[in-house]
Amino acid sequence: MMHILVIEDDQTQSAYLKKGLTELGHQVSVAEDGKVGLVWALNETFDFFIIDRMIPGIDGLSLLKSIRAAGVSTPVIFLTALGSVDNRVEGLRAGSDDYMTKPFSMEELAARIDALARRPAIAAVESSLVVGDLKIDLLSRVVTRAGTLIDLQPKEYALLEALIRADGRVLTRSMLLEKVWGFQFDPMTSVLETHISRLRAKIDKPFESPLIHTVRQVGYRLHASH
Amino acid sequence: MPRTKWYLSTPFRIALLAEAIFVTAFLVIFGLLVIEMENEFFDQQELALNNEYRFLNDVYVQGGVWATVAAVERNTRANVKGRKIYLLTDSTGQKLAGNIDDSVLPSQWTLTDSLFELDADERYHSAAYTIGTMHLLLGVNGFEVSEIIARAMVTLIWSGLAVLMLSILAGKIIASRMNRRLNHVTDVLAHIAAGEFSARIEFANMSDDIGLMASQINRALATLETHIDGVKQVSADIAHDLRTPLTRLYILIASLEERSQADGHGQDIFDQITVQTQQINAIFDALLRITEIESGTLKDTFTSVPMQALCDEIFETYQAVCQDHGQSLTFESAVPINSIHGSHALIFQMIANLIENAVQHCPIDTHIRLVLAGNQISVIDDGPGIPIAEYDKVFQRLYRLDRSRNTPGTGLGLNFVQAIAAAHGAHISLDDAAPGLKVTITFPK
Repeated sequence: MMHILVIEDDQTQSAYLKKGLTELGHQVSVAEDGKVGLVWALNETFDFFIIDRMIPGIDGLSLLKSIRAAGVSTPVIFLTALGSVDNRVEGLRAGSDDYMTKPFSMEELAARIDALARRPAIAAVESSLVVGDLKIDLLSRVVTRAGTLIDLQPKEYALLEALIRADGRVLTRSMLLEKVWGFQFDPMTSVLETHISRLRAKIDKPFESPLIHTVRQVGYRLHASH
Repeated sequence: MPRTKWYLSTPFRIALLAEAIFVTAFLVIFGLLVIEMENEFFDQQELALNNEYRFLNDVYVQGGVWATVAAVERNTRANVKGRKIYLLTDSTGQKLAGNIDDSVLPSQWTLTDSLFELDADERYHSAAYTIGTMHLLLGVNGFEVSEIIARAMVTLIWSGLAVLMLSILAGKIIASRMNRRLNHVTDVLAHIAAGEFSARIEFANMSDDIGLMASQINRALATLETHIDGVKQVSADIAHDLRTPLTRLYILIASLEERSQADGHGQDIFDQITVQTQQINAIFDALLRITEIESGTLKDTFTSVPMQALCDEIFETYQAVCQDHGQSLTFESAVPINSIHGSHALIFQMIANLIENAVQHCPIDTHIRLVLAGNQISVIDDGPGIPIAEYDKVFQRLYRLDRSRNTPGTGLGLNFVQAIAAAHGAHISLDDAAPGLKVTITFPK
C-alpha cells in the first residue's frame, strides 16, 4: 500500500484516479491546485506523486522542479495532455521518473506506478538473472533453461531480459515497445505479439511449465509457476 | 554552410569589370596620344632637316661646290654625338663629305622622306636633296622618338599592372567586407530553414541598400515567427482542449462498462466504442506528432545514426512479423553506407512505417525487400502496387486508396514518412516495381 498524491484539477479525472488507485489498495490524496499540491508535497510524506502538467496555481513543471530542489526524491509520473517529444524531454529533465500522455488507461498507469515504486536500488554488478530453472548470463548473453542452451535473437534476448528484470510485475505493451525497441509510436502490425510468440516457442514450449504469462488487454509478465 | 569564394563574389567581379573597362579606356587614350606624339616628332625632325638643306643650298649658291663641301664637313664635325648623318656626293655618286660611307647606301638612295637604316639598331629619319649637281643625304637619328615611345609603352604596361593589382586588392577588401554581411544573411536563412525562427540579421540598422534589404528580411521573419508561434500555441491548446474531453470519454466508457458488466449485456458494443475512441486518439496523436516533426524542433536531438546497424535491427524486428503474415522479408546492403545525421527513433519509425505499409496492403506470399545502398534506403514489394496516377495523392493527409479503406490505419503513415524524410533533408520517390511498389528514401550525401 502506498500513499499517493494526485495533483490534478479536472474532477472527472481525479475521481477516476482516486477510485482506480484505491481499488488497487493505495491511499490517495487529491490536490486541485498547484500551490496546494506543492505545500502538501513538501510538508507531508507521500510514496508517490502523479502530477498533471497544466494545473492552476503553479504549473506542473515548476512544481516538480521546486519539489526536486527541496530534496524530495519521491517517484513522480507526469500525466499530461502535452505529449510532444519536447514536452516529454522537458518533463524528464525536470526530474519526473515517467511520462504518460492522456488519455491513459488505469492498467497502464498501475503498471508504471508499480514499476517505479518497487524499483530496486540499482544492484551492484549482477552477472546473471535466474527465474525458476531459467537462467540468463548478462555478460555472455547465454540463456539456459533446465540446463538446455537456448539460442535467442538479439530482440528476443532484450525482451526476455526486460521481463525478468520486472521481477514478476506486469509490463504493458507500450512499456515493452519502449524498452526493447525504443518505439515512441504504436506499430500497426503485431511487432510485440510476434516476438513474444517466438520467445515463447523457445523458452516455454519445450518445457513443462510456462514462464511468460499474458495479462489480458494489459501486457505480459514473467514468473515461475507456483 | 556554402561559402562564396571571395574571387567569385559579386562585389569582386564588379570591381574587376570596372578595372577592365578603365584599363581598356586608358590604353586607347594613351595609344592615340603616342601616335599623335610620334607624328609631331616626325614633323619637327623633317623641318630641321629641311632647314639644314636650305642653309647648305645657300652656301652653294654663294660659295660654290668647295664652300658647300667645307660647310658639310664643319657640320659633320659639330655633330659630336653622332645624332645626324651627312653624305654629300658628286653627280656620279662619289663621296665628297659626310660621316657615312657611300657604300652603305642602298642602290636607289634618292628615296625621300624615309627612315634610313644604317643597321638594325640605328634608324635615321632621312631625306635626300639635290644641291647643284651634287646629292645630299641628311638624316637625324629616329631612335630618340622610338625610345620615348617604347619607354612610354613600358610605363603604360607597368602602371596598368599596378592599377590591376590595386583594383584586385581593393576588390578583395570590398568583397570580403560585403561577403561577411552576405554570409551572415546566408547563415541566418539556414537557421530559419532548420526551424530556428528566432534568428535575425544583425546589421539591419545600417542604412545602405543591403542594410535596408536586411531590415525587410527581418520584418518578414518576425511575421513568420509570430505565425509559427501561433500555430504551435494552437496545437498545444488543441492538444489540451481535445485531450481533456477525450480522457473523460475514456473514463466514462470505462465506468459505464463496469456498471453494465453486472448483467453481461452490450460488451461487444463497448469493445467497438473503445476501438473507435482509440482510433480518434491515434489520428489526433499522429497529426500532432507530424506537426512536431515538421516544425523542425527535433533537430536539436539529431546525432550520428549508423544505418547498417539500424537496418539490421529493423530487419530482425520485422522478419518475424512478415513471416507471421505469410510474407517474407529480406535485407540487402550493397555498399556499406555511412552514418546519417539524424534521429535514430525517427528514421527507425520511417522505415518501419514503409515495411508495415507493405505488410498491411500486400497479400500472402508477398516478398518484401529492404535494400540499403549508398545513401539510399528502399522498401520494395511485389504486391499489387499503387496506380501511377495515385503516386502524388498518397502523400496527402488522411488519403487512403479505395481498396484500403477497410484495413486498419490512420491514413497518415506516408505523411509520417514524408515529414521524417523532410526533417532529414531526404527525398522520397515512388516507383513501379513491376509488379509492386518501390519506395526509395535518398538521404543527402
